[in-house]
Amino acid sequence: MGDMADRFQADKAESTLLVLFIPSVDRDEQPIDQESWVGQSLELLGREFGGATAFPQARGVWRDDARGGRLVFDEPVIIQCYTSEQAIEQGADRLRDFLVRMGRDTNQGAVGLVIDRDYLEIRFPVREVTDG
Amino acid sequence: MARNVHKIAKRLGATVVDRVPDAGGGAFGAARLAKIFQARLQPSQGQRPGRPTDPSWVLHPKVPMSQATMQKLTQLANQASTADRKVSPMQVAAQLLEMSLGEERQD
Repeated sequence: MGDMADRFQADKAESTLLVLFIPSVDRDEQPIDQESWVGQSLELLGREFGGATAFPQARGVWRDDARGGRLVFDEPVIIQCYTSEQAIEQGADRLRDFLVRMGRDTNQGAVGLVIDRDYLEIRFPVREVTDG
Repeated sequence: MARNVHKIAKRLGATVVDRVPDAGGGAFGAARLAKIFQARLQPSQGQRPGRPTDPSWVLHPKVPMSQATMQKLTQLANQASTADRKVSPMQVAAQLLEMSLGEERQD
């Protein structure tokens, strides 16, 4: 990687790919304020890891195993960020806080992310419905 | 693959669900692998075509493996299958072997 950076006279050569999926709906397929969460994600990734790129909405599906395998269809925005493992470890607490907040506030079954070639999920329990 | 992914996962309170197959890495890798299967595998010819397969796969050696590996292959096969095209765990294994050895040849 160092050789390649030299050849392109690049000042920065990060080798770990971090990918976030920003959902468009909650686990009941009700729309959420996706634009706001994309903005907040970019802000976090820019601040912690030096930059990120959000790709236009894709189409996705997620199987909610906690609710009998019900399929949740959405149109996530995919954000890619080239960084380093060291930076991810250093920023892990803030990244976790953000992902947990997004998952909880938008009522997700899980929030997914990819680090290089590994797919990770932070899962959330099904909310109890209370009367009154 | 990230060297410390399990350590990072623990810090994030996340579970490592699976390895994205070697199809270019990143979020699009898994989708790419599924597309590779769907594009490359063809139904066999005849009265009752079986599962789609790659016509260049002419050898059928037995490959020993652990239960855990077989489970992962089964998971990947389920992910790559569609209503029209079923992919078997051993087709996944064959594809992964072809891809990793193909990469080795390029190195």
